[in-house]
Amino acid sequence: MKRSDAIKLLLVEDNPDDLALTLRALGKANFSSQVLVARDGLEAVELLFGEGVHSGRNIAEELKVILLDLKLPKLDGLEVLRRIKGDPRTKLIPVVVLTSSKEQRDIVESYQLGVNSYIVKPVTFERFSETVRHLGCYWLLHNQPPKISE
Amino acid sequence: MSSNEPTFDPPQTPKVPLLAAHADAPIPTAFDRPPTAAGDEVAAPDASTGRSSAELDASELRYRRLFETAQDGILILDAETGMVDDVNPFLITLLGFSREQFLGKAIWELGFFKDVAANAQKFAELRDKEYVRYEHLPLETSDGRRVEVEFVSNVYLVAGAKVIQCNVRDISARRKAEEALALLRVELEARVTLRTAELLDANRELEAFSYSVSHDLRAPLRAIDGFSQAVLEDYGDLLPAAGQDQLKTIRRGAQKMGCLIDDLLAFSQLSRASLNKRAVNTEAIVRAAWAELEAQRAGRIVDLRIGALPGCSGDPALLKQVWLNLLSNALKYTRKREQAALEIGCLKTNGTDTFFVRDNGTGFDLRYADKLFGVFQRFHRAEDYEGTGVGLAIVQRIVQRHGGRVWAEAVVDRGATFYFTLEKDDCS
Repeated sequence: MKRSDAIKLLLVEDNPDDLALTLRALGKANFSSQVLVARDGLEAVELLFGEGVHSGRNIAEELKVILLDLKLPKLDGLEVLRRIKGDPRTKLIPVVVLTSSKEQRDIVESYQLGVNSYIVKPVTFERFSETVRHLGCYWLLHNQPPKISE
Repeated sequence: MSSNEPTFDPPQTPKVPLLAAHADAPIPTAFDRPPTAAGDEVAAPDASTGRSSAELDASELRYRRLFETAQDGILILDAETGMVDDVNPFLITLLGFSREQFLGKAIWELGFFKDVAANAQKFAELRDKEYVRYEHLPLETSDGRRVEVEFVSNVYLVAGAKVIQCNVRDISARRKAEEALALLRVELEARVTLRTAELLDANRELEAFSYSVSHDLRAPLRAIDGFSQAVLEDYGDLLPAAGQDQLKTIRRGAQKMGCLIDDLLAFSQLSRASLNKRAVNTEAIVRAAWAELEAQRAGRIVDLRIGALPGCSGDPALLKQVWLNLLSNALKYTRKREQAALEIGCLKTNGTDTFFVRDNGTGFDLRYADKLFGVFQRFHRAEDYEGTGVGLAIVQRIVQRHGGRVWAEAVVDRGATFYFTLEKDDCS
């Protein structure tokens, strides 16, 4: 994380172990410098909308993808997703839910709120690493996001 | 209330309006005998009939006995005066008045038939109607007890004189039974409501439980597996081979538990998912399931025979899961055969379709067959055949939810056959 204008991926994750493993996998694929981390739902929203301690910051325009956990303190993932997709400043940013849950109601509600992809974290580390690497490659390198202009 | 019993609506009488305000819906019983039309004279015993006096005595005796022993009250009235001509023992006992108290009195003087004929004028109406019926008439006995009766009166001619015959059936016991039944029905409904609420609660709890399992139980396993791997990657050089093996064992344990959690969640989801029944092309789903197992049978020689498979009614996704699990099992336990032989088919027993999957695999000891379909029950060592022991439990759950059953036959080292039905059969 050298300069904030290089931030392309917002990782919203509260579990320190999952965070370390995700960052490790992203690091192996050389995406470390483009990643910004929010440790709960509220921090994610403040970062995205330049509010609270992050007022004045504007990362939304540069983001190519948001990796969002669902079970988060303060503001849960679905609520964060609702705010992102309900605000003209952020609704075009691709959001990928990256969670432990395979529950149908989580999947259905995420898609109803407009999620762009839903990925269940594999338990096995190799598969987890590979999944995260794929996500990074796909959303940061291959996918063409829309230009967000206000 | 049975609707099979015959009803005998009076042929000439237009629909008789029920006079009693508390009459219930008509209950058809054999009691609804058609009235004898007033015009049809009942012949008086008379020499002109050509019957001997002995024959007439016999006939009189027969009908007298009928009158005396009837288990319904019978009251014979003079249609002109409303006076009681005769009363049978049953009515005397029922109401607790003596024969003398009845005889020679007009019906409206008796007191208990106020609702039928309160006075001479009302009585005239009764007579003119020729057929009157009350489903439900409360009467009071001499000792003040309330009895409920069904009341029917008919008018006919005897030797040129009009007679009114009143039949009085004690329906107190029936009414009591009906009331008890109604009460029971209310209680039953309340109990069903309560049980349903309890069931919904239990279901919600189960859902919350598996939701929590789904979210929270996988994360620590990911940490155990991931950081063990991280140690191997980052510090593997510093560890002796035995230490590396131990880390690998830790990882296997974590991964196995991940599989167990996944299977357990899949199993519990089956109980909650709604059943979307429709017509299913069995052969199509069997072929689809077989195609999905391509990876599992890669590089093996498997002789598959599919017999005639009739269509069935069920949830296509769940039924496909049944076939997937049974076929996957058959492939797994024939793994050590040079040539695996699988047979899929359907038998018709007593009109019920019984589907089966047969293999020439390792089989199992039938003595343990009762454990076969339990969750996490395993028949083989983990090092021989992998698995969590949920596959057949899932099969059983799905089959049972369709109203059918599943069972197996097997011989150790000779193979196994799994059968299932999707509807009730004679053995279920």
